[in-house]
Amino acid sequence: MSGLSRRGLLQAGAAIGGGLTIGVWLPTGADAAVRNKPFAPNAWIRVLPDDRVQFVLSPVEMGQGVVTSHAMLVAEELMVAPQKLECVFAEANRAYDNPAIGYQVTGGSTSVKTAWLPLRTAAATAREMLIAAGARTWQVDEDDCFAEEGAVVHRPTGRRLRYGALTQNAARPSPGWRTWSRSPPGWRWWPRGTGRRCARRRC
Amino acid sequence: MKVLKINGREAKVDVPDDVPLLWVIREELGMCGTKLGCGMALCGACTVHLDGQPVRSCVTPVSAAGGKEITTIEGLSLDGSHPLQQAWLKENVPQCGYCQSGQIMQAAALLKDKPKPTDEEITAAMAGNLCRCGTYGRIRAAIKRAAGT
Repeated sequence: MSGLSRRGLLQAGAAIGGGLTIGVWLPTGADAAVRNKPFAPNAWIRVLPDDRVQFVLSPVEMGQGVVTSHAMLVAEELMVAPQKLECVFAEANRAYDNPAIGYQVTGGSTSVKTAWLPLRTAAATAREMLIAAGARTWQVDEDDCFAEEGAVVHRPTGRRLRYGALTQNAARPSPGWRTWSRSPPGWRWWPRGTGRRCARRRC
Repeated sequence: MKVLKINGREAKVDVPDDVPLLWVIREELGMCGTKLGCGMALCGACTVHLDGQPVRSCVTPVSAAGGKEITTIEGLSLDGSHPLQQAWLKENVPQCGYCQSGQIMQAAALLKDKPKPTDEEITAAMAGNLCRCGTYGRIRAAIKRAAGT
């Protein structure tokens, strides 16, 4: 992994204009070429103040179903229904190279394998930062807060804050902030699948 | 000026007789659900109905559609509620989706003609519609689902 600090990552996120942006760095051959340029991760989570949640898809969707699979991966960690996630197609950039193949491509059954940890980590990081922001707002213990349906909930009082209301507060470092991935047995969408996104438009 | 009957309405177009119907549908009428694949009636992506019969619109001159009822994927149902479209969603048929409007139009003509087609009849009817993604198995399953067989 690169030596990018969390602070650097957060600064990169804060520059995107009001939203909370989380990047994740994949170990690719392009590391050296990109290291000295502006932070350009190949998978992103964006939470916008108007509650929209976007993820950047680095594989190229041409019917393989990666919009569907990757939306589910993000959803399981970020606690936002996959149908509500907006998918943003990655631009052409070496940073989006498929790490198993070495260029920007969808193939060889590598899309889920290579996204499995990095994309989930990005989503889980966003979730924990939002939870931390909720706890700071209410001045309560983070451990009493959890995320569901695109909102942070304070368990003892039942108070809720939508993600969009937390982006400003979340886009800064927090001493209590940590990342952990939810274990697949608790997953909600992945085990059964959601049906192909975009299918309706194609029928 | 020609008057075409398409999807239950009339459309006036000013094109020469030999312009392919597909061009008129896409370029003149702006309905882009029907796709250009091979341009030689070899792939089925451009399938539409003329008076209920499936035709390859890429090689059908617009003059051949005069006086006939043209139906495109946009006119199969108003809201995607045609039994085949519903079955297509249930079976998660489309991948890239490019050939699918042609597949659905071909299948719709089949079911109109034979509401309970046998496997052989499905094979024969669908043989001219190619799918580069290879969704043939799910296409067959969706046709059977829509037919209730």
